[in-house]
Amino acid sequence: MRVQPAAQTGAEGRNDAVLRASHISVEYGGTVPTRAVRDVSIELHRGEMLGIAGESGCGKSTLAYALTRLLRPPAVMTEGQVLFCGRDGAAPIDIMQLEPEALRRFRWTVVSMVFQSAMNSLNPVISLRRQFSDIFEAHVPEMDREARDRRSRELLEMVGIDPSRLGGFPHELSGGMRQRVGIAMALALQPEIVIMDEPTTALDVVVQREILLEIARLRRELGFSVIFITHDLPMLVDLSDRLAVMYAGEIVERAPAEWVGGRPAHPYTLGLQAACPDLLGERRALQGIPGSPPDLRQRLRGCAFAPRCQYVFGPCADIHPVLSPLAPPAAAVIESVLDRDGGKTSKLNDWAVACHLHDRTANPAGPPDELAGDPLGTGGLVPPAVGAGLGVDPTGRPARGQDQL
Amino acid sequence: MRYFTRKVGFYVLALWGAVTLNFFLPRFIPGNPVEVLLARMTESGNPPPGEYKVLSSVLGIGGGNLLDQYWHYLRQLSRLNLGVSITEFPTPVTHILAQTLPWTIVLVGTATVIAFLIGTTLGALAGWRRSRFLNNLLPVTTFLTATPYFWLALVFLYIFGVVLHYLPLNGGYDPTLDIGWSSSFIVSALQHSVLPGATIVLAQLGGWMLSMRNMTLTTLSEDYVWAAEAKGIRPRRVLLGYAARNAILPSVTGFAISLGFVVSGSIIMEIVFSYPGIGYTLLQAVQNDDYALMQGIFLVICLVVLGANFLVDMLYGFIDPRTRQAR
Repeated sequence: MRVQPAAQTGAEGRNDAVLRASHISVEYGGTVPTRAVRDVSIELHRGEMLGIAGESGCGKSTLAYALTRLLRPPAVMTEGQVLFCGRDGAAPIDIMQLEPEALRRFRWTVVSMVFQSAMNSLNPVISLRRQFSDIFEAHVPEMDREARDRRSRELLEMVGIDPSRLGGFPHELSGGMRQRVGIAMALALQPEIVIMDEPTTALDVVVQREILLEIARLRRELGFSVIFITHDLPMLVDLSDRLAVMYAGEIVERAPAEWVGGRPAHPYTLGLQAACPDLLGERRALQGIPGSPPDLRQRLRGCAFAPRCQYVFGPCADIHPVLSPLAPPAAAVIESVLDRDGGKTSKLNDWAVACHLHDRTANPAGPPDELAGDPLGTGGLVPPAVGAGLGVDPTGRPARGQDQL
Repeated sequence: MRYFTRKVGFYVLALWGAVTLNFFLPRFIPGNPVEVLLARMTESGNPPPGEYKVLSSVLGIGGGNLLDQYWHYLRQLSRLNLGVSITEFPTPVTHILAQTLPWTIVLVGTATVIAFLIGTTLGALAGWRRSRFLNNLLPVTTFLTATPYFWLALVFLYIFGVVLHYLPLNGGYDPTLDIGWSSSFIVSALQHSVLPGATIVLAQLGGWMLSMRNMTLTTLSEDYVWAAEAKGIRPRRVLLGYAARNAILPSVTGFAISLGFVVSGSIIMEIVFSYPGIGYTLLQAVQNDDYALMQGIFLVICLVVLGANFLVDMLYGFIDPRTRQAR
C-alpha cells in the first residue's frame, strides 16, 4: 500500500516547526511509578506527517496525549515543555502553561485528534448532528444552527459520507464510516495539527487503505500536520515524511521515512520491519522480535533493547545510548546525495539513532551492513549515477513522491 | 413506530397475563370469602336462609365452571366492576380504591421522584468533581438507606412529632376538615405528608446517589467523554451531554421499577403513619380475608407497574437510540 505524501510539495517551508516538544517525561503513578515516556524531544514540522512507531506499551500514545495535555490520571507529565508556533508568526504558545479556559479553546481549534476506536470515541446516544454541533458551539459560538448544520454536512461530504446521515447515530454506521466521521470531526475547525492514534488499527485492510487514502487526500487539500501513531512500520514508511521509532518510552531512531524504509539504523527498527509483511516488496519470512519490552517501573540500565538485541556487545549492558546523529560514513553518503539533490540538506541532521553500534569509539568497526543506515545500500561508496537523482531506492522500488498508487 | 407498536403489543399481552393470574390465584387459595362473611354475620345474629347464595352471586363467585367464572370476571372488569369489599361491606371495591389510591400516588409518587432527582443529581456531581463534601455525604445517605425503614420513620415521628410537636403524628389530613380543594385542607394534607414524604426520600436517596455516582465514574473513563474534553467542549456540556447523559441510563430503568412499586412499596410507611393510602387498605384487606379488595389492589398494582414500565420503555427508546429499531 503506497500513499502519496502530501507535504512533499511544500518542501520549502519544511524547516519551521509547528510543534516543538522537549524533554517530555510521563509517569503513571503507583507504588512504583511506571516511567512510560522518558525524556523525549520531538519536533513536528509544518505540513508534514510524522510517524511514531513501536510495540504496544512503548509510550507512543502516552507521548501523543502528553503533547496535548490529555493525559488522564494516574498518568502525570513530570517534565517537559511543548511549544506551539502558529502560522501567523505570533509568539509560540507554551501549551503546558495554558489556563483551563485557554486550553479548552486551544484544543480542537489548533490540535485535534482521531482516536483509535471510533466507536468508543463517539457518544453512542446522541446524534451525529448534536456531536458536530457541540464542537461548533464550544468554539464558534457565533455560528447559528443553520450554519452549524451546513458545515457538518460539508464535513461529512468531505470524508465521503452521505450528509443525510447527520441525524443518525454512531451505531448505525459501519466501523470504517465511524472512523471517517471521526476524521471529519477532527477537521471541523481546520486545525493545524491532527494527532492520529492508530486510526486504522481496528479496521480490516481494505477499509484501512480507504481511510489512509482519504487522510492523504485531505492533507493535500487542507495542508495540516499529522502525528500518526501505529505499530505498523511499513505503513508509516509509505505514509509519513519522517518517523520516530519508540522503544521503552524513548525514541531510538528518528529519520526521514523513506530512508528508514531502505535501511534502518537501529536493531529494533530492523526487527519491526522484519515483523511486518511488505505488500509490494519481496516475499520473505516474517520474523518476530524475541522477548518482550522491559518493565518500565524498573530503572533501566544500559540500552533498554539490549536483552532482545542480536547485535548486543560490550557497552550495551551498562551505558545508556543517547539519540545522536548518524555517524560520518553514512551521513557523508547522505550529504553527497543531498548536495546533488539540492536543497534538502535540512534532512541531514534528522537521522538520529540511539545505538552503540553507531558509536565509533565504542564500536570502531562500524555497524553491520544491514544497520548501516545507508539509504542507497552502497556501503559508503556512492556511484555518481545512482546518487544523481535519489530516484531509485535500494530495495528496487521507485522512490517516493514520483510513484502512484 | 414499529418499536412503539411492538411495545404496545407486549404490554397488552402482559396485562392479559396479569389479569388472568389475578383471577386464578385467589381461587387456588383455600378458604372462601362467603364463609368468612357468613361467620361474621353469625356473630351479630343469624343470617337469613339463602344468604349464602345471595352473597356468592354478589361477590361474583357463584355457579358455573371456572371458565364461565373467568368470562364473567373479564366482563365485570371491563365495566370496572371489581366486586364488593367485605371489610366495609357493601362498599364497591372501586369506590375504596378511588378513595385511597390518590393519597398513596401523590405522596409516594412525589417522594420517589424527588428522591430520584436529588439522589441522581448529587450522585452525578459526586462522581464528576469527586468533591470531598459530596463523597463524605455518601456514607450518611447510604446509612439512612440501610436503616430499616420502620425504625427510621419511628425515630423521625418521635423527634418531630412527639418531642418537638412540629408535625402531626398520624393520618393524611385533619379529620375535622372536609376533604376538598379548600386551602385549609390542602395545608393540612401537606403538613401530614411532610414526615412520611421526607422519610421516604431519605430512605431512597442513598441508593440513587450511590448508583449514579458509580455510573458517572464508569462513564467518565469512557473514550467519548475523554474525546469530548479533547474537543474543548465546555465542562458543563461534557457533564450534561456526555457523562451524566449516559450514566443515567441504568438509573432510568431503576426508576421505572420504583415507580411501579409506588403503590405497593409503601405499606410500612402507611402503617407507621396510619396514612389513608392503599398500603394501609391492603393490610386491612388481608386481615379481613377481603378477597375482592385484595384482588382489586393487586390489579391496580399490576396496572401501575405495567404502566410505569411502559412509560419508561417509551422514554428509554427516546433517550437511548440504540434500543430503537432502525428506521
